[in-house]
Amino acid sequence: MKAEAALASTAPARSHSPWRNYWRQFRQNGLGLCGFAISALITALAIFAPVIAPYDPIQVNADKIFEARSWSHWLGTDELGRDFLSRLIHGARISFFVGIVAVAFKTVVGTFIGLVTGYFEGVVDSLLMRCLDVLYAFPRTLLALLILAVVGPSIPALIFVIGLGGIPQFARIVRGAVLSAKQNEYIVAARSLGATSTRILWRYLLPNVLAPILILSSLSLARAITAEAGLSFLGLGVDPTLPTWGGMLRAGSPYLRLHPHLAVFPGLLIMLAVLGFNAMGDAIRDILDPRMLNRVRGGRTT
Amino acid sequence: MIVYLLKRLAQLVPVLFGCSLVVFLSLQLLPGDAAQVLLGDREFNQTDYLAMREYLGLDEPVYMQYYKYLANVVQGDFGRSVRTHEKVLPAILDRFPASLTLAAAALLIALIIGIPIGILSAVKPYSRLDQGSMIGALLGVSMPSFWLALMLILLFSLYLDWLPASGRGIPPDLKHLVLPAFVLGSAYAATICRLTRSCMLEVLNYDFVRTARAKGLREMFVINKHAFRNALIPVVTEVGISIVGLIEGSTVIEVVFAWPGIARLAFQAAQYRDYPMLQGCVLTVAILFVVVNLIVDALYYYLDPRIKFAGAGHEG
Repeated sequence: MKAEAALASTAPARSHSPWRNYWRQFRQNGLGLCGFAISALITALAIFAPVIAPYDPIQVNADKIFEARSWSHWLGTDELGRDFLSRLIHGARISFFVGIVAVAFKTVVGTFIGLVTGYFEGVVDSLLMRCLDVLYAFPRTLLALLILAVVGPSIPALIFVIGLGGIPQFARIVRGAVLSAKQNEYIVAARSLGATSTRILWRYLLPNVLAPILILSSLSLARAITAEAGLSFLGLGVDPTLPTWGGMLRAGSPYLRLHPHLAVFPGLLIMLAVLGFNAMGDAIRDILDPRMLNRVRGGRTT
Repeated sequence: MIVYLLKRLAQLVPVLFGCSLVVFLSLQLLPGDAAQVLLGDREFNQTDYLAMREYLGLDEPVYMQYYKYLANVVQGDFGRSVRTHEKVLPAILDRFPASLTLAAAALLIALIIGIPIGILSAVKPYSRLDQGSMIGALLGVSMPSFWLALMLILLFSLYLDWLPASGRGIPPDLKHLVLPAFVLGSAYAATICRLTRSCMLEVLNYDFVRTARAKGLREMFVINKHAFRNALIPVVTEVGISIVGLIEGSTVIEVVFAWPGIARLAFQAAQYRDYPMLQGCVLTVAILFVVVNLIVDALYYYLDPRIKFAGAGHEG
């Protein structure tokens, strides 16, 4: 632990900006760079979907049902005559939006709980951590089923259930990091200079626990996208007329034998997106996790 | 050991209380009267309704209602299904063997694939085998299981007609188990492979491994006897977590393959707004989750004697 803290505190002293260092390491990580490129591509797809997509993804065309691939419809049309490519491109939007907001939700709430419980300890700590234990005891999918069955499927509900399951993990990791970071002398110094708890938490402790937060949130984005796709695939996601990859997979599965591409492409895109974020998350973890650094160094010397 | 277990058991009590409270409160969020919700859409007369209100204690304050709910649950009374009118607990127990079989088969597949590949990659890090298996593991982790399931159904059931695509078979047979178990197991194989590799890499750098090699022990012996045993601890934890994870992560798999397990029961209950059944499934799996975690902790304690000393240190 001490070695980690020492490493963390000496790192900024070596160069002007640790971030420049991190970026240099990131560029050397082939798989991470690939992941970054894929993620960037799919993010661009999500942002510019209305510009890129050739057709309206919701427009039903009764006379164009299950049309084969052609120059006017590159990937053909689906069971309601909607342009499949346009739906795939627009599908990135909801999957991303839900994924990113859900991760932001669990990151903010989990970090807040972790900071408060780690800093104050005592009654607040044990009370909040027991509550999180309860949340942690629930299997995520089943809790999502229960909540969605009660409140009904909608985008906010989806974001809530996907985010909720990840909060204990964030809170525990941040709490652990705060517990070790607050032993540092500069925290004692700040307190003796009369800094308020809010200032210490915000100005000194938060930057110290940023690395684990960043690692965890980048890895959980991939998870959130899979969760959204899974729930949509089960029919518990958003309105089925809206294009989502999970929902399209669900809609395409009855026509698996005759029109397999309706199920193949949405799944491929989910996999690509998840792969991209996973590879990027792994690279970020390798760079920011000092334990990994030690291991690589150890490996080289032996 | 016994003191440790008792302590952990005592910690479980508030968690289980909390779980039951969350499941109980979820019904309070529903618009309308809980008695109406639990009687479902079917036609019911005033007597049924009043009897249900009496059963739930709706005329009493919320904490008394929770007390009644808890008292019933402790006695194994989870209520009756709105849809089929069968008792909830026997219905869940009825599906339990199917879920357990699927989880066990998937776990077996995950271990058979994950551990050897993980060890081999760690023994020769950065080799072609290592890079190949790591990319394979990344693919395995990233591939949505429901999509893999559909693709395998397409290939093995629809095109080749080798394996059945749904159900468990009457009587249950192995052929029906292959596809769901493989799909469920492959994702965990990737996780276990990555974990085994990283733990082995760490352990292989320790001094005792160097000592073992310096003693002139055969490499096979060093890997299996010295390194793997130490790398096993996090792997065991992961396996423990995955047993429950497998049961709950199998929701989609059970639905896709129409596998008659608990997760599918819960899914159907959610679809038909069969709240007593859904509540029962969620609570049962949550209890299972907590108990399995306890068992994993106990196993951990048994496998790694260092924890005992750490625990003693904290107490002292």
